[in-house]
Amino acid sequence: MSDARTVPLALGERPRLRGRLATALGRARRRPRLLLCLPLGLFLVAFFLVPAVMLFRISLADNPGGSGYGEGTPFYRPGTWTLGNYVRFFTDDYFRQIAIFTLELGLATAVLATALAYLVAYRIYRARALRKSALLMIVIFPKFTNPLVLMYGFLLVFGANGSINKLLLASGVVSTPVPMVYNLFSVLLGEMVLVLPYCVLSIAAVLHTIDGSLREAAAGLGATPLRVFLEITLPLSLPGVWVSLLLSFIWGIGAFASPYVLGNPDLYTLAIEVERQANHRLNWAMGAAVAFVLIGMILVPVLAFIRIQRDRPVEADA
Amino acid sequence: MIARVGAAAITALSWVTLGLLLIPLVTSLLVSLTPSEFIALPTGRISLRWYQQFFGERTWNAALTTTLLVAALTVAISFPLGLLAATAFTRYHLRWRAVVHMAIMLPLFVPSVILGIGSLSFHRAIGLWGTPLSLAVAHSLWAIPLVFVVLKSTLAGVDRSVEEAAAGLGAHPLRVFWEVTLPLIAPGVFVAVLFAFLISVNEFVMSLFLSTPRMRTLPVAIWPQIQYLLTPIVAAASSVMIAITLAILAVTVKLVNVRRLIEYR
Repeated sequence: MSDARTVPLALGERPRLRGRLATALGRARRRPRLLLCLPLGLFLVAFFLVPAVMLFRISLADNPGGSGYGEGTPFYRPGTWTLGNYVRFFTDDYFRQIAIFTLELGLATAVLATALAYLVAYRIYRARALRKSALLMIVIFPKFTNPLVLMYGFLLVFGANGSINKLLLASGVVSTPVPMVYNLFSVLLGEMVLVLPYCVLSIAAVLHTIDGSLREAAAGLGATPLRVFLEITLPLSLPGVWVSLLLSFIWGIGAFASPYVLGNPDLYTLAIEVERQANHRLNWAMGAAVAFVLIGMILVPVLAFIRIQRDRPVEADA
Repeated sequence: MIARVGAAAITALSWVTLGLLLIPLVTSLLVSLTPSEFIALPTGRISLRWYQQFFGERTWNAALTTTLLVAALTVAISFPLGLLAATAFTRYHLRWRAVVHMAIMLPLFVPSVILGIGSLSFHRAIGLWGTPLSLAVAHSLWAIPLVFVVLKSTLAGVDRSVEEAAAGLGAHPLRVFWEVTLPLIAPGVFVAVLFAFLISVNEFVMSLFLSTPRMRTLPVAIWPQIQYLLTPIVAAASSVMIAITLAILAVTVKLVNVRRLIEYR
């Protein structure tokens, strides 16, 4: 059955079968990493890459006419090729407004979320073991719930009939309910709730890599706690801050649930526009085009970030 | 003096932030217990009427079943794929390690709206649209990177010499994996499975695109209700979802040291 061998089998090696099967199996066995990565690779190609390419193709198709219930496929005219959707996006004021607002929202989310996340991350950093775990759980927990559930809870608390307003009215501080939802305030807050966990985790992770003895040394040399923070902790934690800014910007640009539930039509974002074009106007071609503009917006900071990371000189050990 | 005020402000602000994360959920839970027809906090009595309605009505029932089914399918898809890839990463030298890693993580960085609309057109083209499998496949796009990361760090922490000893004693690689590695990574396996399940249960945006009137997940069923805030039934549905999440997280916390999430880098 096995080939005659003059060399004894190595540890763990098995006798080889003959023939083609042997070669194929042999190759697979010698390169198990290929075999292991193949299923995932195939899956990603099939259900991530192909849809992406198909979506891009659709963005270059012609709109369906009228209400969207044209002949054949109501969602786009297959077989047509046009840049019309993109042209319309960049020339029509409607889309331009939405794009600009989306960018602004992304920036605001990034800055606010990172700032708040730093505070929370720092608290976690300085906390002792048990409290640290508890705080981390509190931070992570909302990420595992439904965005919809979070937004709903938000409406319950901040709405005109919500807990806060009821309290304010009952105590006589105000005479009419304070509008805290369906405006920019609620959109920003809602978005931050969704984004904070990522920011806190990334900043906290970097904070925890800082050598504690550096802080002690600085304190021992006579620096005030504020100075220790400003000159030691803060600079060393900057990589986490950049990651936090990037992540929150990306998520802010892609905001969907928060503006849709907690905002008003003036505050709709590009992501919402994609959904409306696709599900309400049944105009997949336009929806696809908007989707790719959104992707473009996300790619720019990501590529810039990668570039900066690559160009940064490797820091020597202290 | 300034330092004291500053520290106090920071403490206050961080508590407010943490409260921001928790209070909406608590309120939702409370409202679901109200006996009144309107959305209000229960004053006095509490009532389970909304939960009765939730578990009694067919639309909600069906949505809950679909959600759980899709989540199970998501785990079935993402766990093996993620496990295989994580094994490849930790056990073998890959030439384009960074690129492959990025490729696996890529779907996480794409807004779910785009994943949704892309999946919709593709699934419709291949006739997958309208089946729970279609939702599971879309959810797996987000679940797989997470499973991959969890299993990667778990596998990396396994003492290789135990595996090598087993192999040295003549065990086939598959047997080494089944009888040595798997028991050692069991906590990581549980965490990965639970996380994947959780992601699928709570996923909303992609489901919004891929759902049909016959096949909807719970978040999609809640969606139209949220915009009109009619009855507390939404609060009950939300609480059920929170309960599922809490249960799963409680199990996870038992199995993993949460601090290691940030210290194990």
